[in-house]
Order: sequence, then structure tokens, then C-alpha cells
Amino acid sequence: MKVFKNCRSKLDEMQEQNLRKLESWGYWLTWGALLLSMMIQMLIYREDAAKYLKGEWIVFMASNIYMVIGCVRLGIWSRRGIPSFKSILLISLLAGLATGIFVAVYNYLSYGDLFTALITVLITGLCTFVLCLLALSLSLSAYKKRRQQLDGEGDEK
Amino acid sequence: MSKNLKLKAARAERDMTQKALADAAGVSRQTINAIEQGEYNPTIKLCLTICRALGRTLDELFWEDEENESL
Repeated sequence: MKVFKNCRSKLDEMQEQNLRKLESWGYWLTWGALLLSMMIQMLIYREDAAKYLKGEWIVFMASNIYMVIGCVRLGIWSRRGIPSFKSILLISLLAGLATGIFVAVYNYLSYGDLFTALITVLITGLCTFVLCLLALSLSLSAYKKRRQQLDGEGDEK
Repeated sequence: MSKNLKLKAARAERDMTQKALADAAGVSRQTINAIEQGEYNPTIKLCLTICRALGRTLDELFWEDEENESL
């Protein structure tokens, strides 16, 4: 159809590759900016944050879920990371620590109590660590299963 | 990546400009220039199209000895 003919890419392979790189940078820049914007808004709005951040949170989570499902489907774990229990343990620890510190700052600014803030580092950090480890373990197992499936495809003689 | 002087020479032999080769291969002049300058590593599909446009083989235009190969 003429309409679809006009919709075909006008770029050659190098331009296409360059555009994809640009789009990839754009995606990660937007991802980081969205995360930062949500964190700042949480610190500004405090208790009301959940009310104002619903839209951003849905978009952020949807993009993350899309990426995880897409990567598992393609049998890709990460560009540089190693798909092992040790590495997901380290990532979960870092995520737990980062979230714990953020929530501690948030609570200290909200309630002004240093002891409560420090306790939250432990509680929130531990919860984030466990949830992260669980989510990453599930992703790792799905990735390994898919990898095995993809490696078994086609006829190898 | 090193410059692809073989491609440049083959194009010059045929008295073709980068634009003419680009048109024959269905890509932009910028892409042909990047391949010649060694700034872009083309797909095998584009290599074949360029070879056909210049009447050369893949070996003649794109083969590199191991010591000259740098990615």
C-alpha cells in the first residue's frame, strides 16, 4: 500500500545504527531523570508524594517491566554484568543500601529523628535487599531457561 | 579500524564519486565516506551491494590480514 511505502525507513544502515544509539542514550537519560525527579518529589512532597507520583511511577515501572521481559525474551542478561548468583547478590546489597540511605534521609527530613532514620536504613534496606534478590533470582532463572532454549534452536551438525 | 584504501582505489578506478557509489548501493554518501575512513563497519549485506556496484569480490575490497585487523 502507498501509505506503508511512504512509512518505510528512509535511513541507510549506518544512519539507522546511529539513530538507535541516540534513542538508547535518550531512553537511559529519561530513565535516570525520571528516577531522580521522583526522588526529589518524594523529598519535597513527603506524605503527599504517593498522590502526586502515581503517573510517573506507573510509567517508570512499565518501562522497567518492558525492558526485563524484552531482555529475557531475547536471552540477554546485561551488557557487562555476569548472570550469576554472586552478581545479583551484590546488586541487591547495593540496591538495599541505596534505598535504605534514601529512606533514612526522607524520614529524617520528615520527622527530624536521627534514631528512627537509622532504624529505617536497616528495615527498608533489608526489605529492599530481599525483594531485589527475589526479583533478580526470578529474572535470572527465566533468563537461563530462555538462553538454554535459544541455544538449542536451529540444527547444529 | 583502519582506512579502507582498497575500496577507495576500486571506486577511483571506475571513476565513481562517493555520491555515485552511494546511489548505486542505496546508502548515503556519509556512509560510504565512513566506510572508506574506517569509521563504520558495514554489514555483510552492504559489503555485497558495494562489491556488486564496483564489480569486485568481498576479498578484494574487504579482506584484511590479521595483523592489520583492528576493531
